[in-house]
Amino acid sequence: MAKRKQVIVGSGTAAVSALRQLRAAGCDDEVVVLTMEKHAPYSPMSLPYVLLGKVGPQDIGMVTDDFFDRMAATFVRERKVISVEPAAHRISYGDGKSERYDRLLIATGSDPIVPLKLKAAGALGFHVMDDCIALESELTGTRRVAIVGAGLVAMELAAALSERGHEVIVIAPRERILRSAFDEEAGGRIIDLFTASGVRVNMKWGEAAEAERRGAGARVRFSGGNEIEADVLLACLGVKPRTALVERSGIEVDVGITVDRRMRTTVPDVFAAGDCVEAADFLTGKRAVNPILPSAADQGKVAGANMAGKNSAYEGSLPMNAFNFFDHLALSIGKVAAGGDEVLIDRRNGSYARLVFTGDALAGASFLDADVDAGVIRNLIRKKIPVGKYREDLLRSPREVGYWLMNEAEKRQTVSKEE
Amino acid sequence: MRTYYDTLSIEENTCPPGCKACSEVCAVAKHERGGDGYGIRELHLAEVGAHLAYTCNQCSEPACLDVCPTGALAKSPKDGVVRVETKKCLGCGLCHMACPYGGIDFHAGSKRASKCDLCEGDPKCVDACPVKAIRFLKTKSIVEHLHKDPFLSGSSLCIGCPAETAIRFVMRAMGEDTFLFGGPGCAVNMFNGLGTRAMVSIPAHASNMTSVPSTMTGVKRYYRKMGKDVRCVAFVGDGLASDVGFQPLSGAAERNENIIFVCYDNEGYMNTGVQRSSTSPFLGWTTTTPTMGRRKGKLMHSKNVPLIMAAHGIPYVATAVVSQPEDFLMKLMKAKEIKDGMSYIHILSPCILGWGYAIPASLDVCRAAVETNYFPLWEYERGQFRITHEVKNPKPVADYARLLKKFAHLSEEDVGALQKVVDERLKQLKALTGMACL
Repeated sequence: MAKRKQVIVGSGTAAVSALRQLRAAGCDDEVVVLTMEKHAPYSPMSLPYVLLGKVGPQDIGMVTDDFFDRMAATFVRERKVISVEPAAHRISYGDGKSERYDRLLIATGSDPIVPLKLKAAGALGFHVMDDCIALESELTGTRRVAIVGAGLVAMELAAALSERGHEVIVIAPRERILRSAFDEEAGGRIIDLFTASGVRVNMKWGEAAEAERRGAGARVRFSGGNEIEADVLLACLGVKPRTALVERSGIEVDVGITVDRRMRTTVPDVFAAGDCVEAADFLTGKRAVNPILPSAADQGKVAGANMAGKNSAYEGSLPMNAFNFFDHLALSIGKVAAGGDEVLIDRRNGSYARLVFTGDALAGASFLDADVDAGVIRNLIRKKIPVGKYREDLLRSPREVGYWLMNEAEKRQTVSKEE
Repeated sequence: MRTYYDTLSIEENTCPPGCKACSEVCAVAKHERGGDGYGIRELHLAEVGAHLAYTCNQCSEPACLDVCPTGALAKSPKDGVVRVETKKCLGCGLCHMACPYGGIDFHAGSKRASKCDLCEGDPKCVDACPVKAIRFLKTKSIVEHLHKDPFLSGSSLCIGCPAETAIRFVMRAMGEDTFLFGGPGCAVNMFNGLGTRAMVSIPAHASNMTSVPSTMTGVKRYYRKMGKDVRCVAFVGDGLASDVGFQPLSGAAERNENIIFVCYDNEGYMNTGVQRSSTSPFLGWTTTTPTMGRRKGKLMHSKNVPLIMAAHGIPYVATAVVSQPEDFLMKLMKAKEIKDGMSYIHILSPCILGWGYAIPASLDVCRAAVETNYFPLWEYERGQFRITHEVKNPKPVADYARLLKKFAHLSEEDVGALQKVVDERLKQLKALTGMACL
């Protein structure tokens, strides 16, 4: 059989993971990996740590230099795909050229959301390496940084910049921070910890109503009536799937590119994975955008296997976040909103633990400075392991009881397999 | 072929309640090498009786690797250890969230992921554990050998015969540079196959019953003279070892030849029509010790061949069964390492045809023999007797006799007599284990 040509658009986690899986599945097709960036594969996750100075920009490469050689793949930088024509099996580039594919993986990731008003006032987004380099040069000699947004990236940057010695002000549009990962009380505790470390967190300021450049910096007035002036203005209001290349291609896009459990889009031979897709959610089974690295890695794996002709299904995205700030660690897995489920909270010894149960199994958990193996808790959720009468115990000693429950369940599974 | 690595093995629920020895010594070891955190954690849940320690499994497909944003985690192809490259580690905690087994330590204040690296080949927790629940299994070489079966699949032995399992197990454990010897008996089918093809891919020689030890002696001495270290291993039945070929065996032991002699004891001449041998048990049925009328099977006690072999003062003697493979393997590995004398291993090998039990029950019979102390597992190593598998609550020998048709004729009184023999032998063995040397 003639070798097929597999094209992967993007070089992030999903792309790299798909390439690995293609080869692991024994596929010897020609593979081309295209990125619009000039950098070798890296994860945007690393960038706040580069800013903090914890790792050098040269050390965040996701793969070793010989990776693409070992994978027998061609890696092309600074090549932006602008459209896909599924009927002709072709993709077109910005320079007018086009290329044929037999199978295509779209792993283009996401774009940061920067409102036009803020952009006009010189606000920076923070999403890719070039943003990081741009921010780094702006920071030289400046003092006061204002961050608009209260999601994970905003808070991570706030912590990193504060540790670097900047005066940091966080502006949360609404009444909560980190709302996708933590409940109100945990959010409140995190705000307190930020405040104690000298970061000002302003709540419920609304959207930017007016913004203008002011000297080297900017001044912004928010819909709630408050104003802020800062040397550097950062907009971290989340990300949206990068789907421009599939417009008018017939590939269905809702919020993200819609894919089934095999990571197939709505047209033949085109797969998609990572932050750009809307894939099944683990807990609800419905499609949702879940732009986190572990989901991208899993989706890439599934896509790679299916592109190699195997049959692999995605178990669904399970949200998980580890938020490491100052000397604290906040962890969140699965469901946050309680909506009719049983919720248990423990507040001893200055730590915070919150468990959400659906029926007899754990559906969500969040911890602040608790002694716990988060991966074990995640496994309890993923395997829907019944917790039974040990709920209170799990809440009080999440590390010990979590491990024990997982271990007992694994043993039962092994026994039933043998039987 | 898959690759195998040395690994930590932790026995569950043997930790003394509240003990933290492993994690404490681990934290110190990590600190000394410039790291922080833990590579092993213990947990104590008195309410459910869980007292155990857990560490990284060094998975073959580690979930932590998939989610590392900087490729700071890698599994070494050399020793299989999953390591964190400190320079590249962000301290983002994703690996900690991805590992389902609690193998990566990450807590408030952690600057980087911390995990077990087997202390680069010398895990400190092993010696720190007060109950020896943590072992460092240097299994790489052993497991690799276990996948090199020198025999073809299939054989003309009876279906379900544990002797076939035993000979495959022995030869896998012995590994390369091994010569196999045998004589007339069931297992010789493993040498010659079905007549038209060879069954075995290593040098194998079947001589007559009275010359196995002397043949082995010659081969071993020849290779020693040629400067090559080879293993000469015999796999023979009890008829050969205890009766017909006993004199040359005793002679080789007395000369302390560097050979490994394995006897699979099916307690009779099962190959030629189930006649009695000197290891046939007291009151057991054979075709030459019938149970018709007032006859009650064999009236003499069986010959305790392993004990006699130990009395020769050779470096190593042991008893084993295939139902306790770890114990069996440990003994084979000890015998394999001995370069200055003879080793003798005596395996109880139930015979479906001659003992009378259902085909799938071979391992059950082996287990029952051990659990009733009918066949205690022990070793004799350079003068020291040791019971290797102490039976905590021994069952009555009736539980063993009940499984076998050869004991079907026993009255309650007879079972009592058999129990007495078992008890006396165990007492004798225990007395020996208490002695410094024979």
